[in-house]
Amino acid sequence: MSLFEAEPDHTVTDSPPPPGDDRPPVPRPIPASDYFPQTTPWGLAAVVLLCGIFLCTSFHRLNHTDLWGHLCFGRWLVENGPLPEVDPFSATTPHKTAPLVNVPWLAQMIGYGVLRYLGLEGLVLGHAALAMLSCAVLIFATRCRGVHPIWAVGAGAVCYLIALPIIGTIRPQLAGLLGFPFVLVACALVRDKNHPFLWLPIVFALWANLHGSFVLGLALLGICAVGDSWDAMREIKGESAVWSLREIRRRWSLLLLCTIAACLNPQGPRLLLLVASFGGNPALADITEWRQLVIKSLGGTLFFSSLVLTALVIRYSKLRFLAYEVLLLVAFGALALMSMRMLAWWAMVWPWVLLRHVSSLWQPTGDCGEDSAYPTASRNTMRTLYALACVFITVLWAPPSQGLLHSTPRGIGTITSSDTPLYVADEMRRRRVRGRIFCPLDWGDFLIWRTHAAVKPLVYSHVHLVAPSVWTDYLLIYQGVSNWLELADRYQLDYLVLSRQRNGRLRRSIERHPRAEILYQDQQSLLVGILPAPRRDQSAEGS
Amino acid sequence: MLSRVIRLIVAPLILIVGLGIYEGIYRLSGISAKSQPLSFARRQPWSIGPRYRRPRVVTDQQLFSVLDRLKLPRSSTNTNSLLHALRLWGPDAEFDDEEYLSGEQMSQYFLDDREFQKWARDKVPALYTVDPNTGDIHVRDWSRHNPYKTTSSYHLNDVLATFGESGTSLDTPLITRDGHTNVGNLLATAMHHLHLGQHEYEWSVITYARYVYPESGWRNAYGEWIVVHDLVQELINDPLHYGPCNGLHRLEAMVVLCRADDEVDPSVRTLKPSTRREMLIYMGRIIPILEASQNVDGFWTRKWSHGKAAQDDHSESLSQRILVTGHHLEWLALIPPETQPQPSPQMIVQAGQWLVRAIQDMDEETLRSQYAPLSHAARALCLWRSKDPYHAWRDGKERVAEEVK
Repeated sequence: MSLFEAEPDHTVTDSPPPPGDDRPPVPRPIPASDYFPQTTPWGLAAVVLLCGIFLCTSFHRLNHTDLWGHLCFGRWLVENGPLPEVDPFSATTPHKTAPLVNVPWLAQMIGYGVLRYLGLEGLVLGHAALAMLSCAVLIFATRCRGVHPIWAVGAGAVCYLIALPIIGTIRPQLAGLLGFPFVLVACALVRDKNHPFLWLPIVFALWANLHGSFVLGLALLGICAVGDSWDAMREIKGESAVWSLREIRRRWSLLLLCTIAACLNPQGPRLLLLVASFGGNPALADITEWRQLVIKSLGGTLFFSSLVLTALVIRYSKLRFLAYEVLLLVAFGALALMSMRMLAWWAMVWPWVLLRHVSSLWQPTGDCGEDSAYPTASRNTMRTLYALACVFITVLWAPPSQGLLHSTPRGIGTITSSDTPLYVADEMRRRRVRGRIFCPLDWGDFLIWRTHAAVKPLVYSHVHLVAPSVWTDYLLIYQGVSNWLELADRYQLDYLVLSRQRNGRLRRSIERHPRAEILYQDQQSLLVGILPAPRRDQSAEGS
Repeated sequence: MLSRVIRLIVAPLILIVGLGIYEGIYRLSGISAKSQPLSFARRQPWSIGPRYRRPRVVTDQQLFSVLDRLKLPRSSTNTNSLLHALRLWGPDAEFDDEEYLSGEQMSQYFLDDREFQKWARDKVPALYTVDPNTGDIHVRDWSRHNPYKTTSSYHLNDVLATFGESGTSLDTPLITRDGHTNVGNLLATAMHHLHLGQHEYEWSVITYARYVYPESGWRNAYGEWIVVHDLVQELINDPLHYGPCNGLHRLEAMVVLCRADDEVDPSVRTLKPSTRREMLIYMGRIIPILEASQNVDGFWTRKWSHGKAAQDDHSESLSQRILVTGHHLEWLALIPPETQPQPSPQMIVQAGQWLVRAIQDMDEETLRSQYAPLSHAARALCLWRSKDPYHAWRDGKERVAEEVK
């Protein structure tokens, strides 16, 4: 089952002698010991792939978007205890924001803890480690379905590739992406093994406090249970008889147990409803990652390519598609189509389902067990050394581990993405700017973080908390409509932080406006102070 | 069982030992020294002297009459005017007249907050603020509606650039409202915060060229790697007219950097020949444009980058023409001799003579309000005569006194 477990195998034989050579093959001794780990070729392939994933992810810069908002929440929780009932970082008044339900509080606190003790390099390292672990668990989950090891390793590679547009950003969702393949492992094993009943509820109890995506894990369990029940009903032709089947009972029991475990969170069972209604805010429709998948995007291209491959596999597979496999492909495919952000889940479900069938295409017998078409997995010591060398090079090469090893972390300017409003945030901190601000929503989180919540943006990445009217006004200011100042006054904004690239119209209106004062500018942004309105009727009031 | 346990721990152990050995080699080899902060071994700025001596551009008498009009009256409390006056006259200037600020007074306005308060009035916020946590020194900058804008610094790092131009040592004490420090710390803050997204580079590059070059390659406050090549790219990548004073300070920054490059020993130069060549090509590209855009009277306008079409531009005020013409003559006076083509002597003489006439004819009020561009013009005229402004004025004054006798 495992890629790595191996009995010591001290010798391998050379390839068969050429025709005409009657001499028996000479065993070639290779260095080996009972005390030294040995690795299969597929184990080595897995190590190389996972090292590659770790390395690629570690070159990603920290994104300028919601990561910083989550760190703000983490800092608040550490410094002030439980969150208030309304968003503490928004410029809009309490009645204009939805009640705050902070699902990923545990991820936020862990993230802030990592940042506090390991710095920004720790976050990059955590990002790379999470991406790598997710793929590692997926490889294991695929292998648990009896897929040949090389295809299981392929599942990890395919998952990383498809999820790349989503997995490139560190955020609490990554914790969910680690939980999800564990559910896939459990789904593959629960019919025969008892241990998923022990550890999967723990995974769900953690997951429900790390990210709202735990409902997708429950959905996965539910779909598998429904699918298997359906198949069983078709086979034994009796609804009541289905429940007598041990494997069916086990599937539903696991779902029930995990649902109960997921209720172990500050909101209790109510969280399930709250998470399910999360997508209801119309503002989300304007956010790129919540929009429908389009074929022209990288994610869209990868997704539609995977659909084409699915059609080919369905056509040529030697195995029957099980009901839960069909349901999983349909449900998660539809989710990915509806929202680009859901692509990450498709990236895990798709190879897990499909590779069992792909693997069958290369099996002369159509059997998915230990294959005979591949050369025997000769496990030797040298592969372990190669694997170690690979890990060693990865650790040395990966920028965050280098920074941590040498205690010389790279600066924030080289770790964060180039879109991060770094210089203007620094300037705001230096000028001790505080109050309500307008800024592009993707900058808001970083500005809150960098000013230690001294500024409160009209809108930042927590758009699901914003009232629709506030969202509309935000968009109008963003576009630079002629009455931008009236809107700014309505929300009592003190400053505007503008992007040179994106707020060109607003910038032109501001440059000569008597109530706008450009306090700072660089090639990326402008910091504009809004001067108080002249008190025209002061004399009238006095008289 | 034992073999299983050992199999589990041996691989991580090998990895940890390997990393330990690597880290030891890394520390012993001194590779980490690359990330040390920037140090300023040279305490005196480079002295960027004149390159050319063209008596036809301006006569001694004309030069004296122009300079004599540009002594800064004691009543002036405009930081920008004071900065330009210090740049023009230097810290040693003495005008034998209580009505005008001496070089020492101008210098102390920027070096001693007590003097600053005396001239700028008591309630004016300090020009420098010292961050108590980091020790960084920041200069109060200009903004349109700021009630204290006249005492603010108008451009990023213009105070430091002027310190460099007036030969101020990095060890010179700087007395701020927050305590005593020195010019070296002001420079350290400026270089530490210099980044490649700045809106204005001109004075930062001049400061760098005067004080820091040939040091190149340091990590700024954001961990970004700053090298002289990238600074040059920021200067030459924008459109010709882009930047303060119609883009002309970018050209000044280039000629100053080239001149600093000439000053250092060739073995320690960090400005790559290819980068220097890029600057020369950029400047060389401008010469024909200037030849084409110069008005028959000798001046240039803000539309100089349009070439011949700029000759028909009669919309600009006299002070705008002086601003553009003075700045052009100033950077041209320091243009490296290997730039091709070189500006024609006729173009320079025409521009110089037009400036002399324009400044001589200017009324006193305009002259006071336009002190900064006029000081550039006066400095340019001195550079073309290879003369120090204060010495040229002093010589002229003695000559007049002798004539009176």
